[in-house]
Amino acid sequence: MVSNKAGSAAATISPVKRRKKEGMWKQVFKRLMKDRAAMIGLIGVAVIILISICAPILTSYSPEEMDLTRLNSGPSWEHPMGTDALGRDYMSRLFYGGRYSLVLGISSSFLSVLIGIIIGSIAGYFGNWVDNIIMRLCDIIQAIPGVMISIIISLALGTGYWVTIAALAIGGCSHGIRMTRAQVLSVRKSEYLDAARTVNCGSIRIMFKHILPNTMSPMLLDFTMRIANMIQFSAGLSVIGLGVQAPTPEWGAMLSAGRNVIRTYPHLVMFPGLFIFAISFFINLFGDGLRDALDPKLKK
Amino acid sequence: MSSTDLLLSVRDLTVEYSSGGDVIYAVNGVSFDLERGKSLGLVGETGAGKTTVAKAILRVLPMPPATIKGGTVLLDGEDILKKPEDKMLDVRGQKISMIFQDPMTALNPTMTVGEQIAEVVRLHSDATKQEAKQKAMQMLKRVGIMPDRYDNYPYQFSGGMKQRVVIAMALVFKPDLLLADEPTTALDVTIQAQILEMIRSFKEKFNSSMILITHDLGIVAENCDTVAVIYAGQIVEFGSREDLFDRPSHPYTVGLFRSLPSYAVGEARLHPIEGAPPDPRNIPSGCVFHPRCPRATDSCGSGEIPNRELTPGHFCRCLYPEV
Repeated sequence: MVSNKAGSAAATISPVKRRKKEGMWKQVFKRLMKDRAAMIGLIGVAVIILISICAPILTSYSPEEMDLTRLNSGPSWEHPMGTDALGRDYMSRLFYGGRYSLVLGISSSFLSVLIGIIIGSIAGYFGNWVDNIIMRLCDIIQAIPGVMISIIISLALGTGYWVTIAALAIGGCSHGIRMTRAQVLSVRKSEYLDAARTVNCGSIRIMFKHILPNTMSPMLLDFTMRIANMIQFSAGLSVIGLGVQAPTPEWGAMLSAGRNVIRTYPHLVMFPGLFIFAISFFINLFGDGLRDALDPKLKK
Repeated sequence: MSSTDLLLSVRDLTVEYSSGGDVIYAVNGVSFDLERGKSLGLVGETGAGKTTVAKAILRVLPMPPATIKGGTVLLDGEDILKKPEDKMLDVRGQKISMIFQDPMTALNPTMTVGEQIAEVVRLHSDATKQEAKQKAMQMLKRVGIMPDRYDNYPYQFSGGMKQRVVIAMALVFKPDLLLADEPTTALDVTIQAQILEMIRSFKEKFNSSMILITHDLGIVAENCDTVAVIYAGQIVEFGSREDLFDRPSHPYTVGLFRSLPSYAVGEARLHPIEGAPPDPRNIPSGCVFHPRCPRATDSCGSGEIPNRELTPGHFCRCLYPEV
């Protein structure tokens, strides 16, 4: 009887219990799930993304459809957020505009971090004169404010959606370069790189398998936190007539188009402003949580 | 091949580091031989150049700042230092492999332990992913870790288990020469014994030679056939374990043994060697040890100190060796 019991207990605890692969990202995700503020941020961002994707379902007007009988009308039942100077439904323009703003924010932030990772890791890994040249170029770029660089690039390449993305990305890349370089330098002295060298691991493999994965978390954080910045920057560019141009329903461009009539038709500024505020707020909320999840020691 | 043929022969190995205009003389003309299947203990203080010797043999010193100024490292009669870089594949990780001091940092935290062993397999053979994984699991089993922990990350392992993984990585290709750089310094005493026992049994199984770098004379006594005492980048005394432990001749070696704590009754204080190791930027002329040596005379301060053979196989770089 007793032995029988022991036998069944042994059978239920399987001897080859395969241990789960629990990597850093999974852990980070777990911690993130527990962080209420971060979850609110994530849900907020998700809602805004959903609104932009589902814009055709949520609105009954096309963003280009003009109603010349209702120019600059305030919020009403037909147009919950009013109409703009050409009588276009403002809500549908804002919902469609989310697509442009989000893609602009995400892609320019991504591009900027990507440039930072590539150039920064070259500088950090090869060191010496390569590092010196890259860092001095970075000094030059950093001596000029990032917005200024973006303005100069916009002036040189002209305006337009993709040009704006490139301008924003290049204007902000020097920070990413420095950050990646510092990360690579701190990882470069690690013993596991020595270990990799003793088994004849090549430079490129060491770079991609052993160095970069260990420098990723601050870069991921930088990418996230930057998205909101980029959207704000692009609004700034629109104000001075650069950046995304008027017919494109981009939040920044809409905000700047409305600024001349802010006293008479405040809704033209208020609503895009609210959207930009909301996306920045939620992304930063999420970003703060992400930072704590990536490095729990930082959390107070 | 007989079990006593020469595997490694290092001659006049000289390594310097340059640092902010200064030249650091890390290794100054180190020579030794190592037979197949034997182990050599490389004993010395921190900064004496032990690890630099090991890394120079594998040619993985960071260059710059390091430069190998001269010397030869013959492995099976072939000079490793003259081999083109792209021919080093069969040396690094295959003929020679290295075990590191600190298992906490010797594994990449973002790769699973299994992947790290499999990576070694894949780098040195054209095994498929599956074959490499099989091999890695087999290696894990050999070092006493359940193969189902293949997918674990280093943080899920204790220090001793990590060192086992490092050993598994080093032993995949049954190396002729194992460089063990203080393999147990970071581990507690019980685990030390296990790890050393494991290294020893693999070494015997594969008939590998080993260079054991340590500052623990007890470990040397248990594991090494020959011992080289290194001071300021020079081997000051070289001989069999019996020679060194029973008849230490160089005043530095004598001082090392004297400074071991003694448990004799009435022994109140330790007996350290007076002074501090020399600044490697500014190595003393003549005998490198003479500023600290109790037996030094004027003639020790200049000229080349001959490396005298006291008894066959027992070398001592001293004018007045203790007999």
